[in-house]
Parts: sequence; C-alpha cells; structure tokens
Amino acid sequence: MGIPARKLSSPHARPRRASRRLRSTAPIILLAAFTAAFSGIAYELMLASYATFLMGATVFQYSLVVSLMMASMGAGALVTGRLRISLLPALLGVEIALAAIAAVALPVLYAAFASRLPSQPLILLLVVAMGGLIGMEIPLLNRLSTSRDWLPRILFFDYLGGFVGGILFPVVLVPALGLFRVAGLLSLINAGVAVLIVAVFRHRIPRLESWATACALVTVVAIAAFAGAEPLRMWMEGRLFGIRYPP
Amino acid sequence: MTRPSPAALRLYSLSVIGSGLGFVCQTLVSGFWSTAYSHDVLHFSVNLAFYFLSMGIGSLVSGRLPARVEMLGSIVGVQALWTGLSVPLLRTGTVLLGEATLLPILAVSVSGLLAGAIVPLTVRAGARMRGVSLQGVLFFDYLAAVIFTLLFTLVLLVPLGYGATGALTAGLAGIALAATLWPLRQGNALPATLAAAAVLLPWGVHKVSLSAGTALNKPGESMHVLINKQSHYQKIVMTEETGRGSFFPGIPVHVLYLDGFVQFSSIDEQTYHACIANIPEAAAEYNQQPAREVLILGGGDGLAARNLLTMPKISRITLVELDPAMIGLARNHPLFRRYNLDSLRSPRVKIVVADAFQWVRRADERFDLILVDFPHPKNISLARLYTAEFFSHVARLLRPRGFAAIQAGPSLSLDDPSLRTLSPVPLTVRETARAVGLNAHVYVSPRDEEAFVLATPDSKFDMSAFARQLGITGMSGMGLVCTYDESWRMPAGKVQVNTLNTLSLAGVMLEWYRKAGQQAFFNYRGVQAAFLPD
Repeated sequence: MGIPARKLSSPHARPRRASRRLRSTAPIILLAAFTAAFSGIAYELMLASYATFLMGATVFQYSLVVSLMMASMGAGALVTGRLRISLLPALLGVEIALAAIAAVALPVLYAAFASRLPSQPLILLLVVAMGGLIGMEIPLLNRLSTSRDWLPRILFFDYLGGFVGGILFPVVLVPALGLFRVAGLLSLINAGVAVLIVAVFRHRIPRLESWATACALVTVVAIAAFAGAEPLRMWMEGRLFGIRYPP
Repeated sequence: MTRPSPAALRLYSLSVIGSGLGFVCQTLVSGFWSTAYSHDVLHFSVNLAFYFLSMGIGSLVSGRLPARVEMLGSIVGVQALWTGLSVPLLRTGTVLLGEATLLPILAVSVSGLLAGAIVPLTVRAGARMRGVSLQGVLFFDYLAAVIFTLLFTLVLLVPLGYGATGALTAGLAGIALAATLWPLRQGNALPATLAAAAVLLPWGVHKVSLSAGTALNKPGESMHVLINKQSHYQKIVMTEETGRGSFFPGIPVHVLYLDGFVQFSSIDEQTYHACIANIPEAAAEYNQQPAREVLILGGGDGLAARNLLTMPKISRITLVELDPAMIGLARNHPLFRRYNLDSLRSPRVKIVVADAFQWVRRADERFDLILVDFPHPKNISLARLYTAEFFSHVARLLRPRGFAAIQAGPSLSLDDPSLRTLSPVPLTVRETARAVGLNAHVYVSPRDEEAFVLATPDSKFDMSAFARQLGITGMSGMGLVCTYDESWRMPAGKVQVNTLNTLSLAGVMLEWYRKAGQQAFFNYRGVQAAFLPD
C-alpha cells in the first residue's frame, strides 16, 4: 500500500546502536509477536464462535467477546509494568499458561455446552484469562528488544499475525481441522514459542532447568491435545449427544 | 505509575479517541456487511484481519510522521470523519456495485491504517513526558476499544441503526477532539477543521444515502415496500410485487424477506407449509399416534401454526421464536393476519420468545410433532440449529412414535440440468439426523424447490409405505404439493455430518448459493437499498 517495505527492513532503517546479540535474537522476538497475535485472534474467534453457539445473535456476541478480550489485553499490558519477576520468566510463564489453557479449553467448553449449566460465564472467564495473558506479550517482547525504535516493527509483526490468523481461522483452519484440533494446534504454537525462547535465551534465564522442564511438560500436553483431539471429540459427541458416525 | 502531566493527558486523550474510533468503525462496517449478507463469521474475521494488517502498515508508516500533537489530532480528525462516512459510503457503493467484498475491506483498512499510527506516535510524542509508557498507552487504548464498542454498537445500534450510530460517534469524537485541543489553539487549524467536519458532515451524508439508495434501486419488476423494519436480529421487509411467479401474472404477490432472503411468498407459501406442517401430521396419523402436542421452532410468521390449527385433535402448540419484532408483526400487522388467519392469537398457541438452542437445552416436555422451520443454514448462528447436537435435543423432546419435520434447504442440485438430483444440503441434514439415531428421509416441495427431512425415533416407520398410502410418490395429485421420490439421484461426494466442531453445512449452503448466484437462479435482494440494514 505505497510503503516501500524493502526499505524499511534495509540496514539504513535499522537503529545504528543495535548490538550483535539483538540482531541474532530479532527473529524470535518478531516471530513471538506474530504468533501472539495469530493465536490471540484465533482464540478470540474460537470463543466468539462458542458464544454464538450458545446464544445466537452473532453481531452481539462477536462485539462482546472482541471488546472484552481487548479490555483484558489492556489490563494484561498494564500488569507488565508492575511485574515483580524478571522479563524472560514472565514471558515463558505467559506462553506456557496459554498453551495449557488452549489444550483443555475445547473439551471443557463442549462439556459445559452439553450440560444445562449456563456456559456464558465460563466463556467470559476464558476471554478474560486468555486476553490478559495475550496482552502481556507485546510489552514484554518490546522490553526484550531493549530498543524503543523496534516498537513499530514489533507492532507490524503483531498486526500481521492478527491478519493471517483472522483469514486462516474461518477459511482454512476450522473447515479443515475443526475447532477441537484448532485449539490443539494453537496450544502447540504457544508451547513451541516457549521452547524457542528457552533455546535462544538459555544464558539469560534464571533457574533454567525448571523452566525447561515446564516447557517440555506443556509441549507433551499440547502434542497430546492436538493428536488426541479427534478421538476425544468423537468420544464426547457420542457420550454427551449420542452422535454416531456412519461407517 | 507517576502522575501524568497535562501534556501527557492530552496525548492519552487523543490516543483513546483514535483507538476507540478505529474499533467502532471496524465493528460498524463488519456488522453492517455481515447483516446484509448473512455470512457472519467469515465477514467478521476477514474484516478484523484486514483491520489488523492495515494497523500494522499504519504502525510502520508512523515512523515517517512527525510525532507531534497536531499530527495526532489530524489523524484522529480524519478517523472521526471516516467513521461517520463509512456506512453511508458502503450503502451507496453496495447499491451501485452489488456485493463487492472489497468495499468493507477498503473501509476497515482506511480506518486501521489511521488507528495503527496512533500507538507508536503517542509513545514517541510522549517519550520525554512524565507518565507516558507503552503499557499505559496500550491499556487505555484497549479500554477505549471496549467502552466505545460496547456503548456504540451494543447500546445505540438497535435503536439507531448502523448509519446513524456512525454519524453520532463521529460527532461526539469531533467534539472530544476539539475539547482536547482547545488549550493549544495555535497551530491546530487542520485538526480543528476536521473536528468541525466530523460534527457537521456525516449526519447529512447518512440521510442522503438512505434516500438516494432507494432512488438508485432498479427493480426489474414493480415492487412496493410495505414493511421495512430493522429488528435486533434481522432486517424484516415485506413487499408487494407484480409479475412474480408464473401461475397468475399481474396479481400482486406479497413476499417476506429476512435479511434480503425470501422467507415466504404468498403465491407458493401454501405448498411450503403443507409440506412442513401437514406431512408430519399425516405421518403421525398413519403411525396411529395422532398429534396432540406440537412444538414449532422458528416459524414466527404464524403460517405453519395456521395449518395445524385447522386440525381439532391438536390441543396445544408451543412456538419458540427468537425475534419479538417478528411475533409483533405476525400478531398485529393486517397483512400478516390476513395470511396467518390470526393463528398467533389462538388460545391453543403458546408463544415463547427465546433462542431455540437455548430453549431446547433446558426443555423437558414431550411432543408428538416438532416442526423445525428456520431460514437456510447460511451462517453459524443458523447452521448450529442444523447440527447433530441440536437434533439430539429434538430427538429427546419427541415422543417415541412422534415426528419431526425439518426445513432442509434447497432441494435441487445445480450441477444436474435435468433437475433430478438432490442438493447436498438436505442430504447433509438427513445424515445429521440419522447420526443421532433418528429414522430420517428427504421429501421436497416441487413448487418451492425446497426440501424437508421427516424424522422419527420410531425405527419401524416405513417412509415408502407411508408415501404410497398418501399418494405423494410421483408428480400427480398430492405429489404436486409434496413429493417423496426414491428415484432421485444423490449428489456426488461424501456427505459430512454437521456438528458444532466444523459446522460444515454452512460451507455446503454457501457453495450452493455461489452456484445459484452464477446461474442467476435464486431470488436474493440484499443488494437493494431497502434490504440493507439501517
């Protein structure tokens, strides 16, 4: 759109004081910004879909979920200014927590939907929790980059992730994989980012072993959530609604 | 956080107005477009995606812009103006060009381009100010997005409509912008002009677009709009048309459109409602358990209830309809009362205003007949009412020998010019009903080219024997009204059961519409001004 994209990524546009270490860690920061928004918008659309399943009234549900998610993201961003723990553990904690929530979100939502209990509060709780965690990512990544001039680039990758996620979710992901497997995939993505952060920043992470263990654990959970999504879904459909597929 | 200075507060105020405007514009455009075309999730996601992409580009471009209050003020001014003008421009563009998907994408992209520059510019402009930090700016921007979106799209949208909500937002934002910049009168001529324009211009443009839209209409036949009502859920339009249908040209026909799609037409609604109401009733009679208690899901026009009320054995009809505006029209409007014969005023009819899925989840009564009469499954809020999950509740609410008749979409496959092949939509509905253990069969209304699924928990019910006894196996006698023909060909390809996990039926339905649109085959008027949401 009239933006000389090559020029922006050319060496001239780069901050001169960027250290060698910053340059080597740049791809992971931009990748994390991309996935933050990619999975963020996918979580948002997933929860908005469930809200619509429950209540109908799509415009209302989408506006409600999207705006509440935004508010939670804002609160998450604000919290990062007051965190007592250091930067990398905070970021790892966010990624691990997102991966863990995504791994269990769909079975829990589906079971709640099948019950007679009102599931709206559960959806809103998930919106607030996931939104809060997602909102912490950009300020943390920005601080990790140590340079203020990086902000537009981080934001660009963040928004780009939102764009790709917003297109892929309804057009490719849900039709091809279904919501259960999409949630597993998102869990895998967040776990993967956590593993990459541990690998790239291993020299700067305090108590590296325990963080590496947590990452490994959540990766196993994410793989199980993705690989087991279809059998689990069909088992739940059969148990909760008596659905049997023709052979 | 340290206490911000007045200059910092000014920056915060500008960035809050700017981000809020971006989100309101995005929500209005997505809401308008998805209401007009009913492809809800797709439009929401795609618009949101392009909004984010253009925000990213705006954020990159902002590096080239001077980080000054005047710059921020001008961006916010343009945003206010664009938010006010986007719905009228979209309306006019749609009437002139038809369903051009690029229009809403363009509208949200302009808005996103401007909104994306706000955060980095604010952070840079406030670099040396007390109390301005990235997390602070992000927090207030997200908060603004919520408050503006909730206020404008949830509180004002229903009473005002999209265009007026946009104009009002623009006006209020213009006033807020002027108030923020008032202490710095000098050097802010451009933002002040834009603020004034945002207050004065959009309302007039909105009004003009409403009337000009109607004037630009080029209906192919004589058409008068008799009812034009924007409800909380849909746009309800009733027209009087001449020249429609082939039986009695010249006689005015009344057509009800919901969100631009034909819901019923007075020339052939009798056959449609005979299929959805009288066939299951006859099946119950045939199965020696005459229907007494009936549940109608949807059908707020009261026409299916009218057919059932003619049968004295039916003692109670429960009608669950989502839209109170539809019930109001069906009960009170003389035209509706003429067609539904005051069915919704009958003491035998109990009306429940509720979402059908929410209602069936909690219901415990049992019924002899359930009529499932929703619009085509063209989006997720409708396709969820055709899922195995929904049908399992329908099966639970049916008595063991009871019957459900489910409206199952268009009957004809568009790939077969001989018109002997069933469309994949009713086949998917049938397989979905079978997946929850119902004995289900497709029958069609040849006059309307609509299909239905007759489903019963009774595994011994023999559809062929029933159809032979009723005389609906061929195109003669009763078969002209409803047909069950086992010689119909099945569409190629695997039929997927429709569950909440993928809602594959919405894709099947949209694919059918896409082919129908190419063949200029089906009657859809969403692009005409009267059918667009206010």
